[in-house]
Amino acid sequence: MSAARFPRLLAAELRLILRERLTWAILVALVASLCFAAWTGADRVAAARTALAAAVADSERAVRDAKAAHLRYGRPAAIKVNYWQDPTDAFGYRTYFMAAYAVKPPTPLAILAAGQSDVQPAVTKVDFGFSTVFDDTATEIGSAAALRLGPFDLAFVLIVLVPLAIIALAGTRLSSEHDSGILRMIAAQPTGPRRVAGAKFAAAALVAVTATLGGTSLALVLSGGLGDFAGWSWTAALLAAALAAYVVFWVAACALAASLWRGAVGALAGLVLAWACLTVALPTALGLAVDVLSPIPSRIAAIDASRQAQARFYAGDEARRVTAAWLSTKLPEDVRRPELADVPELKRLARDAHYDQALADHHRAARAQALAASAWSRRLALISPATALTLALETASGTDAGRHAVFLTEAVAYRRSLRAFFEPRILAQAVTPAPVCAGCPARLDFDAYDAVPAFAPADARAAADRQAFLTLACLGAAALLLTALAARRLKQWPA
Amino acid sequence: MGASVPPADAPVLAIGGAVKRFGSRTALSGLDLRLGDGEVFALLGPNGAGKTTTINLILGFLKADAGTVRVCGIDAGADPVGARRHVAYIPEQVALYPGLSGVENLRYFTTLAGLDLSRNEAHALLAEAGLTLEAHRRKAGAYSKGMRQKVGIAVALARRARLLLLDEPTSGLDPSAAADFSATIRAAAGRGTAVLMATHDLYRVHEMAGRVGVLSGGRIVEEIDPKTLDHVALERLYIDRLPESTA
Repeated sequence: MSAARFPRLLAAELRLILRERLTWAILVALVASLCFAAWTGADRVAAARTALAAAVADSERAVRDAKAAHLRYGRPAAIKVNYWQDPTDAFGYRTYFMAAYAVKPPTPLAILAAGQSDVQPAVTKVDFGFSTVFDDTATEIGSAAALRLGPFDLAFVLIVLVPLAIIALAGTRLSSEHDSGILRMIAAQPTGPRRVAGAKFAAAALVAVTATLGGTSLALVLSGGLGDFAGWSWTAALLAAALAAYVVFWVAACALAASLWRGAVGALAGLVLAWACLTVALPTALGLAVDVLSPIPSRIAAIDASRQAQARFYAGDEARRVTAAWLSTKLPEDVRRPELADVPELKRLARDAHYDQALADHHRAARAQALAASAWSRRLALISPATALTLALETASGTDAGRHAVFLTEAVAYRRSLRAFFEPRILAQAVTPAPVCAGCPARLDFDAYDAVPAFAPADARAAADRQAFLTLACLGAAALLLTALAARRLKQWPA
Repeated sequence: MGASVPPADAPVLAIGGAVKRFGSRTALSGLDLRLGDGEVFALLGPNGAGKTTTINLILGFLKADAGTVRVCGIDAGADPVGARRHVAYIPEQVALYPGLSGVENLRYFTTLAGLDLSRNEAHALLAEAGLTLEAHRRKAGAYSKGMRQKVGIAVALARRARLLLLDEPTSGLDPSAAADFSATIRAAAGRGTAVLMATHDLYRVHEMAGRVGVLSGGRIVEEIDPKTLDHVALERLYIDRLPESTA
């Protein structure tokens, strides 16, 4: 048979596969699973968007209330407002009224996969109240394998269930013909085994890729959970290609199993074993390996260190000494006065700086661990096709461990930027209090509410594109390798 | 590998000194056989005599350890696909896709052979093979062995192959189906198709074959003209030639 006749053979195989009731049963189950998974994903993303909207509303409310208070306190009144009740004071606003949030908004493709980052808070309130010591590292990134057993999301269906559907669809192609004797009839025709197997498995791949991509698209549209797609179409295209490569990888595995000529039961047993290894055992082992390679620093040691730092600060005259030392680095000598070391607002600023310094090693270790865990996850994920695709989907969804590690770092930087914004104002007010109207109850030294830095989350798209491309390359290579192995084994028909 | 062009004057089948071993067991030990157009050759032999091995060599599923197997001049070991272009094969159990009708099965197998049969052509071939019209569209899962064999014959007819290989073609067929089958094969031979059948059915051998070879110990120990004997004498001769262990 000439190569030009291959499309005709492929069409015959397509007709054959589409005539089977099992094919349609598998496809219906697959699409139903995808729709249900997309619905749960849309629900999850909606919850994240609600939390985000609540944070935005809270920030706006805080500014609105502060502005109203500023107007109210700008008129003489019979009362006196303490600094912790005063949003018109830079320290009072920063410490007790401001609602600033570091946010990790869902990406437009967030519906695809729940991930390690997804179970961590998407919104962190950056405040300067009493719980400022470890709120940037208050959560731990857990095992991806343990998380995978949780949500029934699209990633679960695509990574775990789609291979089973492919095995059911293509796992006994050729081997069931071998068992039933049809293979003798096929083999007696003037066509080599590679061409027949190529047509059979190409037809299975066409059906599986169409069903998987079409079913996923349908589920995404029906669930209504996709975000604004602008700028993310390239990422989506890369992911679709990676998903197609994943499907082809499993179809190639079916071809390789068939080429062993061990019969349908043998082929199915081998494929299910491979599925269990690649989608369950290996990811679990890799998750454990990540935990071993990037051990979590002792939280108890960090809490103990923070308690000791607090105890040291408040012991004897240490608070005054630390504040004076801190002021000497912040104020020019000509404006320094000894009584400034007793100003409560300045003591709090000095205390925060003291904690930062005392606990810097612990913060560094926690952030380094988060970055190391995400780096190891990225490297080890490429060992298994399932983990590679998981990581690509999670990265596109913005729910990967790496994004949370970046988010933690960004939240710390945001806290610094807020401190840099408020500190000069608080110091200026302490050194030279702003004049206020006669009889006004508040300090009225701060009204730059709209100038307070806002949190700007990093763009997750570049990382998503990079990971999707890497995954596509790896899965494509793996699929090609399996196809080549199967083709090598299919030199001649079994006798 | 490009398609081999058969020499015009080559015999349909030429097996010369074919040897095939499976480990320490020798299945064929110097088999010689030549078959020309329109000849019907029956290969008789007990189980394990080498009949299926011979068929596998002709189809190119196995390579001979020594000797040659040529179909229309094409070396079946070196170019099995080229050799199979000239061979149609009907196994003992013709297996079809049970979810497809007879027409669909026929069109599928002929597509594998590189042919494009229209539905009408498929119906005509099935009718020529003896399958009733009502059965053409019925799913093959409900077919009897005889009906499945008729689909196999239709595939062979569509292929217009020069050599037809039959492996125990009449075993399990009722007498009427076996008679129909014999008639179809004789008609094919009448059109010039060479037929090699491996069988135990001495009655049908006597009815269909022009030459009979008794295969024993991996080679043809006696070649008989069945027209010179009735089928009872043929049976006695066959049993006499079998090794003691199988007689």
